[in-house]
Amino acid sequence: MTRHYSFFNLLREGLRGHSGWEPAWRDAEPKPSYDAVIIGGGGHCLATAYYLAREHGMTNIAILEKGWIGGGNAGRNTTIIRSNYLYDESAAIYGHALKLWEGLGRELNYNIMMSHRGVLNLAHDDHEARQLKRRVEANRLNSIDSEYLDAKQVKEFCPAISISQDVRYPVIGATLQRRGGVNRHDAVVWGFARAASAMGVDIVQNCEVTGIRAEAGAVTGIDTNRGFIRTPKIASVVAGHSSVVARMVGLRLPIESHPLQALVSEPVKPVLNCVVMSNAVHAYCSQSDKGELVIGAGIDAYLSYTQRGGFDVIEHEIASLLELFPNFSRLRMMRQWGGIVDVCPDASPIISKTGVKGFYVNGGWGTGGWKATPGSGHAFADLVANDEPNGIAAPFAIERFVTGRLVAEHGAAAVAH
Amino acid sequence: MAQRRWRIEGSLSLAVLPFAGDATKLKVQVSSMFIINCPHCGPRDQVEFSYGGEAHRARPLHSEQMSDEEWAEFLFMRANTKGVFAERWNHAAGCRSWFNMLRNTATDEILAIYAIGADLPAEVGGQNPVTPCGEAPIGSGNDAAKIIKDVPLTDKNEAA
Repeated sequence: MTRHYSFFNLLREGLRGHSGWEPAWRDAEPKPSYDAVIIGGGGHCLATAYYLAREHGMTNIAILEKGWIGGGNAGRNTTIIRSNYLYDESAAIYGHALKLWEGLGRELNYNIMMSHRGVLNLAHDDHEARQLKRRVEANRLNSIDSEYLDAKQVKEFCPAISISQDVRYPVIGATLQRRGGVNRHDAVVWGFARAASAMGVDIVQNCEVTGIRAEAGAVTGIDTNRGFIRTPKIASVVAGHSSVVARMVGLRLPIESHPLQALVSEPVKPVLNCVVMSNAVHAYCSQSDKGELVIGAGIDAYLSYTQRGGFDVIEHEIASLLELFPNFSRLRMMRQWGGIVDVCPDASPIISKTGVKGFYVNGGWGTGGWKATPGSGHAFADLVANDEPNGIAAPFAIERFVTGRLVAEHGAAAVAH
Repeated sequence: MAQRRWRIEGSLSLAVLPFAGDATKLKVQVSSMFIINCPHCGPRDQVEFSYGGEAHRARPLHSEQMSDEEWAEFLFMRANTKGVFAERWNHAAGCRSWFNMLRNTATDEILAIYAIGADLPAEVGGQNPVTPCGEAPIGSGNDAAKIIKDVPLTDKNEAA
């Protein structure tokens, strides 16, 4: 049986007709009880499971996924990785995540196709340029690499972009985070799943949670379509369904679920060498290794769980993209999809204990969750294992909505959420 | 993409609801998302409307007596319902009037449109998901989870 992925083993298996590979991870049957159960089977869930097992020795745990792992927002995002947030608390968690991303492929022994190709955040007017320069300095104070480029330097770094000044939104500069980039979403999901499964974590698919049982203010177990599972700790990492799962323990969250659409073009030869984001025209774009342009923009304004979204948002998205890249106008779009994002009023996540003992919430990541995947899982695993948040998770406790703390990251995030 | 702008008319027997204090009754049409039947202007594309969030939330009258928890509840906490949900809409690019709408957020099926301040219409026929996180057989884009509904249950599962 071949477990380790290496050039040597690839060569060996090639000579043996690839007969020795075993499944990357175990599709487990649910056991009657676990030390902890994670609801959801996306990137953040699997990262949580992985770090619970690796850092905290909790291997008698399970993740319960309604469909298949990585089939929700993990498979629907545009995989942009960056950490250039203005807000100190965000810089801490996204910065932590970026550091983990850098070594993750090797650590998981799985090629997550991490590409640090650089992320540009464009400035289209003087005010925006000033604001972005301020953010560059704030990033540097938080030890996050960030620099400001003028229009000419933007063109040098990203030749595909139009820096014509005769347009409605001319590019007059940009911030650049060179360590930012993109990676491969299902490779990340499978990499975490494989590593967690190898340590004994049960990955249970087609297992929908239908209820949570609690006694004397503490969770005792979880009802699923595959039977009752006893557990003292339940970690909910379900993105769009955060409010639905929280309601099972009588909890209300400050979250609204919206469709966020993305689309990809037909594959073309390499044309876009970095990630380009713009707040003012509100679009972001990168080119996948297959050659497709991966395009995203803002959420649909209304609350919905349908994973579709309206056509007007796509029109806006494409109009924005063509403002930046007029040469993409003849490209045909191949696929469009929607994911349900859990938006917090302050566009910051909730990583928190709750009033119900043993019930933990990791949600509210809104439109920016993918880049945080390992950092989110790392911090959340610490919270679930120790029942106390670490320094990175503490600012994201749900109490911030009650204590009167300034709740204002919507303006401080690097992209208008 | 034009074919996505479809609308199901029919099911008119579902409800005849009072509207806007007017003695006349408004016929409620069941239409899909993307076409909203404005009570004043008739069916219009959803792009003309802006969203006002959860309906039936009134600003507390005695805020000076409220605890921090009660304020947080009013300001931030939301039902975020999956299923039949009452919400506010504004025909921003039309008559600019506000109205309430009852919609199934699991399918985007519009069930009723009624006046701001009016009571929640009863018996409009929308179906909540069978399980809290469940997906509707039609109208939900989440095929990942719908496929599992066709998986036959084992004996063990049925016992549960």
